[in-house]
Amino acid sequence: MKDNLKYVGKDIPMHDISEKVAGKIKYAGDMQLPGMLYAKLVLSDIAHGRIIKIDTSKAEALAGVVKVFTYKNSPDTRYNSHKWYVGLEVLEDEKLFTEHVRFIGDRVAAVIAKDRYTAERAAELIEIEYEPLPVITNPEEAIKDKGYSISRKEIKSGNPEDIINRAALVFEDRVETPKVHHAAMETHVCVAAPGPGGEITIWTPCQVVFQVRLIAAEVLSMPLNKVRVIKTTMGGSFGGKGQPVLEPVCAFLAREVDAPVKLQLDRTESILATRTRTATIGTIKTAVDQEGNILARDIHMLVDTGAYFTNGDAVSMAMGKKAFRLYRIKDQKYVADVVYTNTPVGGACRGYGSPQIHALSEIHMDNIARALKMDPAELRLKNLVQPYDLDPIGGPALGNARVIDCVTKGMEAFRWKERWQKPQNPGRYVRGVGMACATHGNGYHGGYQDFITMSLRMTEDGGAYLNAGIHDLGCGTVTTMKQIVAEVLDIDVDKILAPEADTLVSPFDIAGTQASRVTFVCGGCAMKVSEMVKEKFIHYASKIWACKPEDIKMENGTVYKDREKDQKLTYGEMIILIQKKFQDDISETYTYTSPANPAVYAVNFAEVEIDTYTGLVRVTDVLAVHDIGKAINPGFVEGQIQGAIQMGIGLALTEEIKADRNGNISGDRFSKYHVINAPDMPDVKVLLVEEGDEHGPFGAKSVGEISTCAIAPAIVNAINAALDINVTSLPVTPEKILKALKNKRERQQTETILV
Amino acid sequence: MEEMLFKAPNDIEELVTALKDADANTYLISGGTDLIIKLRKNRIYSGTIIDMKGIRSLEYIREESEHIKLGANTTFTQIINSPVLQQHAACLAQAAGQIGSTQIRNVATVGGNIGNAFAGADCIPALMAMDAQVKVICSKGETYVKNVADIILGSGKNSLRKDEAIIEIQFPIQGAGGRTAFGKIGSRSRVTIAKINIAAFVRLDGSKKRIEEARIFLGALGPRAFRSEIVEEAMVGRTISPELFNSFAAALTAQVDAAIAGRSSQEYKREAIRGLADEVFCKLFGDLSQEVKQDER
Repeated sequence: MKDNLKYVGKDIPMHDISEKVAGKIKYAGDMQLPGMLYAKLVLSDIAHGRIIKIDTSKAEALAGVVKVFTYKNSPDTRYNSHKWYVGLEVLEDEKLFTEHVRFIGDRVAAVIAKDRYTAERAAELIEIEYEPLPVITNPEEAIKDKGYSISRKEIKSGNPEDIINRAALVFEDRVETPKVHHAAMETHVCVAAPGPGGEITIWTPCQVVFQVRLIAAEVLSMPLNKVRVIKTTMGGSFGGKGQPVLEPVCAFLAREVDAPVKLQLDRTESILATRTRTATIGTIKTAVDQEGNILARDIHMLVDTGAYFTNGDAVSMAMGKKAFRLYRIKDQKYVADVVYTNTPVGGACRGYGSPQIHALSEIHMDNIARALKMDPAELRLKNLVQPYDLDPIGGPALGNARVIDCVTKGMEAFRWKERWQKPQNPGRYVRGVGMACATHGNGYHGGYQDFITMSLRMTEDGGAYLNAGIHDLGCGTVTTMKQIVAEVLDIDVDKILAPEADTLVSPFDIAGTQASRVTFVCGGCAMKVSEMVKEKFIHYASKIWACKPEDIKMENGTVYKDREKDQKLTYGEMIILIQKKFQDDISETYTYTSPANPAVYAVNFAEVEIDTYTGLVRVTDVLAVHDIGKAINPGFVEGQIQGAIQMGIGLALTEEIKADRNGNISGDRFSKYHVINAPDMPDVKVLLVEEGDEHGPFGAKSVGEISTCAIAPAIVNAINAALDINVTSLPVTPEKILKALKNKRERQQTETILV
Repeated sequence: MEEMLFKAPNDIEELVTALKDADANTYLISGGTDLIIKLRKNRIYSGTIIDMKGIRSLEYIREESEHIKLGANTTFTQIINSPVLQQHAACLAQAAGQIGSTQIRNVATVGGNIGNAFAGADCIPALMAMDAQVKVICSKGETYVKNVADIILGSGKNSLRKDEAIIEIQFPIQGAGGRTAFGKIGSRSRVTIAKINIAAFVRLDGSKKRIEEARIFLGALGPRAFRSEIVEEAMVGRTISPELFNSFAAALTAQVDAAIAGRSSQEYKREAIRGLADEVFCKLFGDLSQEVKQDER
């Protein structure tokens, strides 16, 4: 790794932060185009049924209404919004507007009007008669129904069944994780406008412009070149805006009425009618020896993808693979059954299955430790993977996997031993600590194609222009890329222009901001293309000064021949000379293919305080330890982790989109769907293990998703340990805690009587 | 053409004038933290809004001989910070402190809170425990006084006519021996709607040992806050002691059972109310003796 870094490893502010803070940034929701119309969706209010009659006449009669669309006057094309590249084969079951509604929130119609309020009012005037169909919301019922049970995935190494059957110590757990909402501050929004030549432009806060283009083109039966997608400033996504939900709808509407259309959801619509974290019911069985060494493991995941398939298979595989990359387990089986339910649709959500699989495995690890009367951290240390271990199922090598360092350093910094052993006070408020480990990836290498093309040009005034299809989700992608370019070229970050993705002008990128690939893969490309530009610049400079390339020095925006520092030129002056003399441009375009996909690790330690009377839990202290390779921007890394802990506490304690038997949803608004807010946020301490990965730019690995994978089980473990209960259904609500405490009291009373 | 007429009276006289034209589509606003949401949700884009907030003369907290009077426009932040209320109506100051977020407390008013008549409103049980009355003015300029309980019909409905406005809230200063407290359970510690709330007023005898009088109100257990005879019976005439705490907690559980029997939330609320019992008991009597605080199961 390079020492004496000047830009990498520094806390440089986000490129647009002052504009954001000053309210100057225009988000898609702020956009106004001449003649722009407003669309409002009509969503199903029953969970399953067929439309017998749909009467739009009253809505159409309302002054200001331009047009109403339903399944009757829209394409019948089935698509899957999960499809992010052209060659991906997927089950296609979604339509723009459906006559067969499958959940409360399914798209039935859209109204276009001259203003938002008219559109809203007209939407309520649409009369729909349904033939109700049977509703299934419980995945365990769904799996028994042929129409709902859709896919099974299996991963296996060794022979776990035999070992488990023969083992003396086998432990079993069942862990449920809920559907949750991403809760980005910006609700889903899209603007689309038709052009005079039949083309469509879509402005959207998205994660993959080329995916949006692909889905819109497919649904509208248009060539890719007729659809232009421009990524707007993101007001938060967390995976929620990964799959195009509104974009094909909005593009269709704009084309049909031949005018710009804005479609913006309110909070309830965003919760119900976009995407959710996939709910799971996991069962896990582990054989261990007396010392706590894992002998074999058997995992089953029941994956509730909701009413449409989207990424049901992909998320099942993604979570399954993680189970083989945290502990050294040679003999292990993972099976996932994917089911439909008549509930909101699953999709990408920060961690992409990782928080779910780690909730299962990490709560289970603590239960094993309890049964063996071991310190749960020690149990993990016996079993965790080591640097450069291989993946037992043939996935990408783990690389410089430093999870053991994370545990040992974290134990020390958190004073784990001392706090873990501290006896409980008997009063109303009980404190306890817990910990958990997690792993995640760095892109698609090993699973899917993973490459990006970037162009970099040095400008005549000593700046640089990085043209790349990058998507900043508000986490600092643009500045991160600039820091990498700045470090290679040794120019100030502010002299670099790095606009975000626009399919018309950005070079192609296969996957966008997904799979924790941005810093590792896109950053890798930025570094490579910068090195190529630097080499070209030096090559010409050495010709101009008639010296060897190795004698050319670049420093802080200036170039000179070694030992002739007093005759230096600025980069810009040199570029002008090169242009005159060689008629060439100091630019390169490079397609970078990801060379690896090392594992990345997080270990979270949490302290909770439980009110044993009300069951309310406060997380009072968190330490997040990350095997990050190298933090390109430590401030961004810490920001990611702070936010990820906030999301993870919600998953552990409060957040849930819950469907009753009829598919009615509770938690469809923020007064009833509680995210953790500032007064309940603990002080989150961050500890980075920076041992460098050989393939990452400057050694960097991912942080955006891994940061939310270990916190929920760490909290649940702390609660269960402190109260000596075993709640394994997330979120661990006050209701569940009081019920568990009551059961424990009753059990103890029975035991006392029996004794 | 739809039109929302906005009237902003600056004093009581202008308010009365504005009320003269009030019809079914007239809405009083005083802070608006609930009304704006209701208008949006119900897609009400026409009618008349009378904004009370401009009447600065309705923003006061006054101690007058035997009464405390609050102008209807008094915000929750002003209530929280009022030494007078902290001294004479701790339950009201505590309840105000638990409402919504800082931003909401800075804007929302006590008059609006009563008019909104939300079942889980935090201030309402506190006002009821204080025996509060509401002064109402009508379009004829006449004023009359009503009990809070008579105004609140529950579940967001009040008994006021469209040409009536709340202008003042008043309650008697409780003499010697009076103590009050408020407690609330939500689903997180702040910015949360009550699952249960309690406001309690008790009067101790001269020896500060025996409860002479009690008014206990519970909110969020029905369409509106109500007075709990079950709990009061468990307290009046009793001596402050750990046993009293147990009776108090048991009575609250019994009250929850009676109020929401068979509801899915009963199982949780009947247990969790013990937390409120503990909190309110400590707030009421914590200074009297160490031993009252202990509660060992």
